[in-house]
Amino acid sequence: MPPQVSRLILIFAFIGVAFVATRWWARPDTFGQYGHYRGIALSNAITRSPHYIPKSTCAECHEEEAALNSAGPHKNVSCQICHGAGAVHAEDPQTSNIKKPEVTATCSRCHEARAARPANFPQINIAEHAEGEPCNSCHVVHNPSETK
Amino acid sequence: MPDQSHLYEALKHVVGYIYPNDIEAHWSILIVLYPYLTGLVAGAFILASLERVFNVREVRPTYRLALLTALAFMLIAPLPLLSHLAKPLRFWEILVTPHLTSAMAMFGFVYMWYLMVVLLLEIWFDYRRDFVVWSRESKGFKKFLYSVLTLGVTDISEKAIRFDEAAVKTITIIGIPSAFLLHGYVGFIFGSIKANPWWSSVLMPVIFLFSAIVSGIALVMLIYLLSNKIPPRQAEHGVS
Amino acid sequence: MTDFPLEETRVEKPDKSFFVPKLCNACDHSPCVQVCPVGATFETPDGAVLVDPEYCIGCRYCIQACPYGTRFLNPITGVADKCTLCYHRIHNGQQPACVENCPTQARLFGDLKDHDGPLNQFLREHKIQVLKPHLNTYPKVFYSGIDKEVR
Ligand code: SF4
Ligand code: SF4
Repeated sequence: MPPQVSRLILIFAFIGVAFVATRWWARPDTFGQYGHYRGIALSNAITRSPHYIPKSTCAECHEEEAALNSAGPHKNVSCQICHGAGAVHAEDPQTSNIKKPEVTATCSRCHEARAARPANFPQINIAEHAEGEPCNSCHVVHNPSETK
Repeated sequence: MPDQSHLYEALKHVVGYIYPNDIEAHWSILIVLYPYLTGLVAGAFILASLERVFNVREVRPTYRLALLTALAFMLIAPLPLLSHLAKPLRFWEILVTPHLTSAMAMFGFVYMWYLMVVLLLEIWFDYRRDFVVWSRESKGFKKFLYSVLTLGVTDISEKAIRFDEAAVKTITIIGIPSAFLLHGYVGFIFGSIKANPWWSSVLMPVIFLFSAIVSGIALVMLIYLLSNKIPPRQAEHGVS
Repeated sequence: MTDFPLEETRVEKPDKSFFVPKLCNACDHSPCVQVCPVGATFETPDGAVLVDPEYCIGCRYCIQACPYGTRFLNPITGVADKCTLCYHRIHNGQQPACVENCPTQARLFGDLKDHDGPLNQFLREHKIQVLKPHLNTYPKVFYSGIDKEVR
């Protein structure tokens, strides 16, 4: 065998061994536990903490609003639809870490008339219906079927 | 946290539906640059192989130039890919845990094969005699550099040189399908995306290959012209 | 962007119109899992498709490969992200947040393998459609009562 070939084989063998060794060393521990991914990613995903809390948790402190809400047509609507995710607020109740919704804009998200909405869903053209008044000048926000 | 106010600004104009990924609907310009560079590599290599394998005498003066052009562009080809990654420091994962169903995971191996086994080997065999001669003639750092490049093999007898030439020819024969692999595979990265009807085509590797050949040859022609004009000198005929 | 012709794009009286909320379809043959070069996107043993944010290299290949456009590069974490089917909630006995909070209860979540469960009962009793069936991704998100034209 010519000397240049044996030298090259030596070098390539060295690179090959170094590569295999690095691969073995750098492969994450839980890789391939369930499939072609890090097994630990599953438990990481499970242990993430939720942002949204059950409605019953809100009712523990806000009894008055919860009572109003469950008497009206919004009884199936979660508080967090309008107020945003509440996990942080439930841990540490502050006015600063929960949303105080902008009334008319929030209502129009569901009740502004749209062709795609089912015909039996209560829809209005807000500009005509309210003539610029905010919704809560007539409706009780937590039970909108009642008017003031 | 990056400034996202422009996204909210844009959101105000959305009527109808948007997809969740409308933040980033297109692959960036860096992804365009990468096939461009590997195309130049494959094309330049094919030009070099014209002389070695198919004995096209007319392109003989460009042989070494074409090889070195291929090497130079090969070395920088992964840079746009790397800088396109959102987490560039995790690039090693592609080599350590490649997912065999993914076209992109094969990148590391195709690239390594082409760079180490084809380009570097062919250039080394082609330049081996020169390395030995230069390492004897030059001084200081250059001498050291050239002696390292000879890899300690100083045999330049008639027999060894003839072996080198045979080796170069064999490597070029392996190299032509490898160049097709290198660039056809880049076409396959795009061709295997079913979600994009403009990409998902079996012809993609072929389209990429032909554009590679054209652009690579054009690049070598350009460099050859320029290197003969600035500074003006005679075309080097019959180097090797 | 500020000169977007807002008024011209509004069609006053469409013949038909739908709301089609788009989320990750948790494809059974998911193109995103297939193309991820490092195994940072994977299908869990129970059928959800997740991203491993500590392993994703941010190559964005999966974003291109998802036929439903539901993946994005999270600008805060710098890795690919998508709907996780609230994996942290469904494994702790809760419904996904969208199911729990939908004001009109338009969404139903359940176990597809439970043949007599409420989800399979609903699927049997309604006209069901999946998005882009011709791509053979076999989505596990079903839409009831939308048109074939919806993609
Ligand atoms: S919808 Fe897109 S992100 Fe979800 S599993 Fe299918 S391909 Fe992946
Ligand atoms: S962006 Fe992340 S999850 Fe998507 S294909 Fe690349 S590495 Fe995989």
